[in-house]
Amino acid sequence: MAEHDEDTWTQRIRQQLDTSARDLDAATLSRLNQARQAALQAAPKPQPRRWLWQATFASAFSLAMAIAIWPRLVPEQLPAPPTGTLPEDFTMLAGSENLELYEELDFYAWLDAQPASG
Amino acid sequence: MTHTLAMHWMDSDRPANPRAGTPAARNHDALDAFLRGIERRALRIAEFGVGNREDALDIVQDCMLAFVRNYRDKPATDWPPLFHRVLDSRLLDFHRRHQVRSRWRGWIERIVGRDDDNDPLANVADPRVPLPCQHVADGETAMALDVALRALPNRQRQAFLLRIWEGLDVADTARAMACSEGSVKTHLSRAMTALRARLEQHHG
Repeated sequence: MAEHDEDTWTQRIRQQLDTSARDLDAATLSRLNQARQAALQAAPKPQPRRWLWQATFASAFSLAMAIAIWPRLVPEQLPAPPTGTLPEDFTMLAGSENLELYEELDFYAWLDAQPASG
Repeated sequence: MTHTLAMHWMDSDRPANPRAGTPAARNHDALDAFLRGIERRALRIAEFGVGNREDALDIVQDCMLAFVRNYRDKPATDWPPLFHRVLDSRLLDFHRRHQVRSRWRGWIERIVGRDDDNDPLANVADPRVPLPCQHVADGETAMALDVALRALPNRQRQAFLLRIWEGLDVADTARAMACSEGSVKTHLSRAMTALRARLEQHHG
């Protein structure tokens, strides 16, 4: 069979097959439609990214733990000691030999104020 | 040719989708258009293979489910050969089950004896013989084509329908039939010869 005849022959067969597919009855077309819809519905839906949920949960948990634990980690603020002569007071109190000197401090101040008499 | 077919169904009318624009919606619409474009031919191919419409509808439904589940994320240009790979596989499964059933039925008949009067299958029409009213509109030639296609061996029929009707190229047909390209050419050549001999009086 010549190539042209073969093309014509296959073209006629293709047309007949197309016609047979086009002229399917309504009941069959309905079944096909239902089958297609069922297949498309059965396709798994796109899942939300699981790692995103896990990361969100981990972050929220960490934040809650930090808020709960933070006050226990930071020491309670004590009132500040009075500033000024504290070191000098300690020195004065620590040396027992100087107590008498401090008790007579007024006398020594008066003595120091007296003019030198030679 | 495959790409031409792919473009044809991708350009067809599609129903409105409220999620239009998202990748998932685009994929859903493309799948719907593809299946809509191929389902009738798939049914006819299955019908040629199994010999009756009910089984063919079941096979096409099963094929659509498996195709969507497994290949929906593949490139759209790969869908035609992949769909026919699934369909070919389902047809092969059907014939295997049919052979097993026939073997068991024959074995049981040999054991208990055949009783045609009580055999419900005796009253069921042979599915391989087309009903007269089924093809009146198509005429005698169309009926002759149906009979000739059904009479072909499975592999020859698949090669012929995929190459000549579906328009798959040799590589895609080989992929769909899970065989070599050389086998496709051999099956197609034999199918053409057999069909031409059977249809000579109708097609001249």
